[in-house]
Amino acid sequence: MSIEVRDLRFGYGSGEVLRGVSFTAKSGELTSILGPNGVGKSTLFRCLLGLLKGYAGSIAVDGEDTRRLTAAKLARRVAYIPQSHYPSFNYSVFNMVLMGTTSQISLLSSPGEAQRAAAQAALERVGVAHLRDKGYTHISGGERQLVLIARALVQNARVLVLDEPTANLDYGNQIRVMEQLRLLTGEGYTVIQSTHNPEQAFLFSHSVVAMKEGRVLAEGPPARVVTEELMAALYGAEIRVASLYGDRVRVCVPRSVAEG
Amino acid sequence: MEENRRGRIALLGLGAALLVLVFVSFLLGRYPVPPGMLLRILLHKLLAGLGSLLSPLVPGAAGWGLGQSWDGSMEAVAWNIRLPRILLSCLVGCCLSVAGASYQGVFQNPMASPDILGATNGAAFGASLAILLGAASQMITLSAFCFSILTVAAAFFVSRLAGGKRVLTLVLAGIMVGSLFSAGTSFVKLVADPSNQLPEITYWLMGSLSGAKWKQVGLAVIPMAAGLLPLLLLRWRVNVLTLGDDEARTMGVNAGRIRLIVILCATLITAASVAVSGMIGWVGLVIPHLSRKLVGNDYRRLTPASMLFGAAFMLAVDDVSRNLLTVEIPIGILTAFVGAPFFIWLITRKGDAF
Amino acid sequence: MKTRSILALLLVFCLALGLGACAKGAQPASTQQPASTKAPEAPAETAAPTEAPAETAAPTEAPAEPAAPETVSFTDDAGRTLELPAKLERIAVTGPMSQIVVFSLAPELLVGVANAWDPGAEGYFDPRYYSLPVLGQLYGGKGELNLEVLLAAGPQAVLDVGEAKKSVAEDLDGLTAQTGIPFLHIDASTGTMAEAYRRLGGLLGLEERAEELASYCEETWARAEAIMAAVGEDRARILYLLGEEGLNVIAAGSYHGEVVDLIGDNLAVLDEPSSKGTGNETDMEQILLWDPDFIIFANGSVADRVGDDPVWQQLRAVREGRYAEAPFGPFNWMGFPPSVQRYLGILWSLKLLYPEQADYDLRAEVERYFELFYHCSLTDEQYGAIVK
Repeated sequence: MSIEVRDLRFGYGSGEVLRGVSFTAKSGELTSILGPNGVGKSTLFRCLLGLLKGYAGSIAVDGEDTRRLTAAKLARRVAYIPQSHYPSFNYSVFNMVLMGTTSQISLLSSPGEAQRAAAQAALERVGVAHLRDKGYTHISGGERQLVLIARALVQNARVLVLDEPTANLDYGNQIRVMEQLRLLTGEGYTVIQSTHNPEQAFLFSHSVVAMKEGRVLAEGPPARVVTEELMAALYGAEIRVASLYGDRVRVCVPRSVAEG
Repeated sequence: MEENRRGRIALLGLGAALLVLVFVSFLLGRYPVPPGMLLRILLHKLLAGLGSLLSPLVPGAAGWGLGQSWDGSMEAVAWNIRLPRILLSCLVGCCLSVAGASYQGVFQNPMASPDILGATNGAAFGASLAILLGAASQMITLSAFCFSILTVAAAFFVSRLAGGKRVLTLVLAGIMVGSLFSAGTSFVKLVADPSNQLPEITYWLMGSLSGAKWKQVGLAVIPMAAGLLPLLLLRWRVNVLTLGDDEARTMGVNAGRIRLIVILCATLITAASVAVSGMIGWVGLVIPHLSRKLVGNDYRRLTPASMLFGAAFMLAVDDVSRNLLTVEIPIGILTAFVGAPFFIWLITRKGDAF
Repeated sequence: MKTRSILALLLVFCLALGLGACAKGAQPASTQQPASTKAPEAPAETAAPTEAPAETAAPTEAPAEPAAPETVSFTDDAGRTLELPAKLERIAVTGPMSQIVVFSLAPELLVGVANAWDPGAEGYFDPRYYSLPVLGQLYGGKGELNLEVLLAAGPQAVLDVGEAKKSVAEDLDGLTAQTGIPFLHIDASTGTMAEAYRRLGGLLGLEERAEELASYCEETWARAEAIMAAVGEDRARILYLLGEEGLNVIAAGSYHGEVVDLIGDNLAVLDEPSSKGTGNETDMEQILLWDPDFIIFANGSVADRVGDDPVWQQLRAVREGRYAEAPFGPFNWMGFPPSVQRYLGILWSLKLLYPEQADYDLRAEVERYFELFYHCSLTDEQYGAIVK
């Protein structure tokens, strides 16, 4: 299942935030959206998730315009994984995952055996089954992020949208989450994440979209996007990009540091 | 599964406690009726009622019943005074706590209570106005109910005009419209005759179930059932709604619509409760919290638990209200006496208060 | 752990209530012995709890009351026709106004009172009347009538005497249906007291006694009018002030102004006379403008303070000591509730304002009144405590 964004334009009031964004996220690929703060990444995501509707241009999932889909139908195609957060009320990890099945059951019913089995399977799949009876707010940030991934999996959507999934995690958890995402892309999921970290984008993505001022500055394989020129243009800073391990890793360093 | 079992046991326990309380409440009262006699009267009444229902089908059913070995006063006490009052306190307690729990869910705010959108302020104004105009009890109830609904409708309308963050503006509009109506109530109190109307208004505002009659039970049960049923059926969606509108929507839940339905139903049952009982505070805040402690935040268990717990609590408090002193103690005072200190304990306790 | 402790709490609560139930259940039984001996298979005895208070009330008839006493139809002043026992022997009242009137006519029929008597009455009231159980009042008041308490007292009818509330018919119909006891309304105000007594006398089979009270009311009213006629042009210009600060006034022509308007020129002529028992709010400037000859203060108002209050000293009446506090015992003679005790107020204030024309012995008049309406006599000391 691929997602295709064509000439997306959106503005709050007078200011235009998205000024013609186009890119494609393919099935089996991890697409990273890279860009400085306030560039419209969140707005883009809200459009992708059907939370904002008054945009120009189009967003299509496997050729189907998302605006024509009901909330439930869209939920079965595109799942959202927010940053690990503290909800107002504490639910058990299992119930948190079970909520992902809501779009599959009728309005007036509660999840049944099939949904519970799916939730259990998803917990096992991301490796947090041992937490199932713990309170969601009582587990660590990395665990919460994995639980939210499990929740997205039971939603049966093939497109996963993640908003800076590693932003508040320690290094070990960052790696655990990113490896989980890489596993999922291997299974054919379409994964779109926003990130502030070009090195991570280079390391894990199949495709990188660099956004600046509501436009796509560059789109393509990480090797073509995470370059000195583009990074400098993107962040408006003098940056050196060093290649390591036969260009399997790229490191961004401020020029002032690199050249002493 | 562990959590499920715990929840089920807690629900069963609550149900049993409620049944025991109903039974005990039936025995409690100022008029001495032997327990055996009470049961006979109840049985007789039920048989007679069933008989008159079946009389077109079963010949002779109209005469069903036990031999009457009691006098009219006992029957009046058992059937016309205690039973409607027990039913009404259960209904009111059940509705107020479910309304509180539901409001807390859809506003994603554990401090929400049934009066968050001004429903009780509106009812107070409606009742005071009716008393000022010399209306009889039925009209007072009706006026309270209508003004209660009207207040919430006004709050909703104002929040629509305001735009912005839906939940926040709705709550703010509720506070504003509510305070407008309580100013109205104050004005009515000012112009009311202090020798008879003012005490009646004050007494109404303190909340009481002492006027419980079958007619009221019959009137109240319709909006209550109409509001409770959707709240029971939608309780899984309310779970999802507690995560916030955006998350709920990405999981396929139409947050705005579900919230509207839940608010509508919660308001309906709050209005019906307040209209028959006056202002009874704290129940809608404390009971949902106690229920959360007992069964967790999952509305699949929380909603039924709040219903049972609320009914049992209100019944117990009303028993105290009608039996402690010769003269009735307004139940709103008692719920505040019990509720406020308890809530202080709840929020100052260390650990997972919420 | 948490669950268990909360469940345990709940259980303890239930148990406590259960214990309370036993205690409560025992209480009424011990005060009403017949109820405890009653067995379900003795139908004749089931009426026992309702008959218990009757022991004191109607000793001659108590033992063998027929199961179905004959009834009569009665149409009350709210236009409702009700079936009543032909002979009413146990009655209850809905509020203070009804209490005073019914007590004056038929104290032996009362199974209880709506409000406790003023503690001051303990000294002179017959103890058996003073200690009548308090059943609560129907309208307003501190607490609503507890219907079970009312039923336990076993009245055959409940009387509501006084000004009719708009909703009176509906309210009383509802209560009649719920309790199975007829609730009746009889209209009454100070001016129509005689008529109310005669209605009640007919209802309770106490025509003779009712006539006595009714004619007392009529005579006293006529006597007051005669005195005022004799006073003629010299009517005192008066104010009746009440409230914590003495800044409320009963306006001329208002519902509560009947007596003040009768005994002098009520200076408080207002555009919108309040029908409230607390009258209209006013202020010191207005009172200075009115410049009354005489001021009557309600009991508990500022009467004992104005003597050395520089503001009140501005008033001619206060400077000259021409003011008084309305007597209280067991109700405010001049004021609330607007019931028959106001005839005492009339007698007292006329004597105070017009000692020449009011050529009666107030002490004797008050004594007569207390005998007629309160069924007791006053000692000199008690009289002195009331009329200062």
